[in-house]
Amino acid sequence: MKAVNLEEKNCLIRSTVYLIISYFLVGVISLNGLILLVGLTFFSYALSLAYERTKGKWLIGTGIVVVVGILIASRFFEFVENLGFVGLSFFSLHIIGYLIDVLRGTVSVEKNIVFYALFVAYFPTLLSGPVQRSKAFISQIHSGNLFSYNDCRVGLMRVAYGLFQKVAVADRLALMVDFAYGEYSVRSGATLLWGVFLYAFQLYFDFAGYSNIVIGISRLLGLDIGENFRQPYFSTSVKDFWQRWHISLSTWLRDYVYIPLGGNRKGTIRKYINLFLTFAISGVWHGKGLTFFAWGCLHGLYQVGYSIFGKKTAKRRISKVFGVAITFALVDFAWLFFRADSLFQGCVICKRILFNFALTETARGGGFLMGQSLAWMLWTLFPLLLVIIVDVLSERGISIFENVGKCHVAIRWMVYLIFPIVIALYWIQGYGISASNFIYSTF
Amino acid sequence: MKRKSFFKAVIIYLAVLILIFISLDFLSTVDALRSYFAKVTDSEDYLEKNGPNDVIPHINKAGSNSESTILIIGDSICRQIFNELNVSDEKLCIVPLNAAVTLPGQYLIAEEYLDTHAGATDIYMFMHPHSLLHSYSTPLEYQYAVMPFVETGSLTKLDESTIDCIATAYGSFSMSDFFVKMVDNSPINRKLYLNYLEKHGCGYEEKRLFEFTDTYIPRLYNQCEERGVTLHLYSTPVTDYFSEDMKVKREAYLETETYKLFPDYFEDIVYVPEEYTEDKAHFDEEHKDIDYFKSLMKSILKEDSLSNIF
Repeated sequence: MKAVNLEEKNCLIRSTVYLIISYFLVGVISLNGLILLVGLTFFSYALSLAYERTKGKWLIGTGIVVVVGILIASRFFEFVENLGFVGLSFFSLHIIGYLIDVLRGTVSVEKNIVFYALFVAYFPTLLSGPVQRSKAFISQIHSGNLFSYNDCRVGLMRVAYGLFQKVAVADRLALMVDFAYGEYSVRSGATLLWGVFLYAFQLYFDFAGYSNIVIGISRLLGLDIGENFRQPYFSTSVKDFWQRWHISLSTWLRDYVYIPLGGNRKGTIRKYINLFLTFAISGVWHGKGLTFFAWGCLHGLYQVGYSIFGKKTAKRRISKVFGVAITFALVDFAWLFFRADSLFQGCVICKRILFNFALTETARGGGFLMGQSLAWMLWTLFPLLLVIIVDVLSERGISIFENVGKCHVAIRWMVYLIFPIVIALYWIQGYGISASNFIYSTF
Repeated sequence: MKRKSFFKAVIIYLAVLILIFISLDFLSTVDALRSYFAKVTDSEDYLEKNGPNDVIPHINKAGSNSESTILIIGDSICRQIFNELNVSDEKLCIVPLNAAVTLPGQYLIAEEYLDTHAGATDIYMFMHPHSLLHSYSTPLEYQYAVMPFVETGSLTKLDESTIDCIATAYGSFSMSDFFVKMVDNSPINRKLYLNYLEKHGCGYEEKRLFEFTDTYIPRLYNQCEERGVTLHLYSTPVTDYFSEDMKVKREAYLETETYKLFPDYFEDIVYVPEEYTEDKAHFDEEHKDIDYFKSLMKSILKEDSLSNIF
């Protein structure tokens, strides 16, 4: 009994510390955000307790309506957006998911406000996910975690790798993509297509890098928050893509939007509508502006299209490579709009790709260098190849993190020391603006 | 591995890593290795020791024993004019620089001259009105108005309040000899520090117009008077683009101590057409003409004895 109480006490202390850190970080970024976060946490906590006593479904409904209402207001009303509600996109999903789980009875009401508040506001996931599920997360908080050297080691490696993906790959690709999109009306179609192609990797390595950092930190803290990416550009279909890309969000949408809408249980036409609506909602969730909505709708159409034609093509044994190529093309076409500042910009880019391609002129004029030098491009190629190789290995079931751990201690330490130096090197390369700003023109 | 052992290993690892980074940082200051470090970190644009490379030779020239009795200092427009005029007269010590040196910097150069030239008779300062307003507001001034004077050891001669301004702008550590040497000699450190200042908007904005001018011009004037030296303050040519702006600046100038010493500074401004310049301040190639500059200097100096050399 004493041991159990001590364990519970340790869990509570640990959770309290994590919660204070979470609230502090949110408060530093935005006081309004902190007030909303704490307010909605207590609000939803109270609703769940009241539901447990009265079983009044309207209580859960009220909670969902309020949270969704604030989320929609932040998308469509500038004055709400300007209030700076940090992390709203993610903690709102935590709250909605929890309330629905309570309603469904798949999770028991959490009585401890600290544990519940930590689930809502867990700091590493607050800004960009992964989206957490109450059952999986809260159960971990309740159980005392034993120290795991492997978890700590792999956690640190994932943090370092995530930084590498972001600093050495994504940030560098971003410069090239900005070159294309920045002056899109004068860039050749070939340059724009190259920019759109690179954006797919910029976005992936930026997001996956961030996820790796968050997952790594969580492993250090003894928490398993789930994977968020599984080599998405190896997808052989658009359906497969959403089982590999932003996994935490796609499963959340499936469980809390698609299935409540009826899923595939209300007939074929209704299934298509539900699929389309789910992805349209995903588009709106990603950001305000028609470009995100268009992106979501495109994916909705892709899913409907796959539902109609996908099984037929599967029977023809289309080669995996062909499937990967087609899926990438469809996904990247949608990314074109995701990245664009407006639908108009997206349409102009499409038009220029189709009617102003100018491949030869672009190649001769160095358009594929995207405003950078050849040396710079080569410096970018090395880390890009490295992360692609890691993905290829992961696709074959080989974890680079686990395998480094099996190497001789000298090799392990060499990797541990060289990697941060390489990250620092790329970070310094990309730090700052043009040096001419610091040179006084002399006469 | 147990928790304690793991944390011990982490501490050792971090210590080794920090040691490696510090060693690499020191190596990046070594002359023979600077360019290699610059290449791998894309810091080649920071190899030139901008600031100290320009200013220190001028400080040394002003402070060197010579037969000169007249010091000429000023901003980059003054420098442009005198470079073109190419005056060679052993009575003159000509060391104009640029506005980023700031008034406190110009004061230190003038003081250096006074300390080493007992026979000095005149100090001429040619400064565009905008140059009189320069503060420690950007990374540029750190390179031109702080670093050279730390390296030559003269920064401490400035007012406490000015030192505080520099500390506010760039951090008090930015005035240490060690820090300045690390920034000056390493392209990586220079890149990181200057861009850090730029990104975080570090700088000191004057609390009132002519704040530093009004501290150091009267101070220099008094020092000159004590030594029997005459201080002259003239404006470099101003483009007509700024004629309205000059009216505003003049109003603020009237409230200063400097106005009492040099009441005709704004009245004596010589205006030139904006088309003669490439950036509304410095003359373009077409108008960098010796005869034209001579006539400009005569217009600026009027009855002053220095006009005789033109």
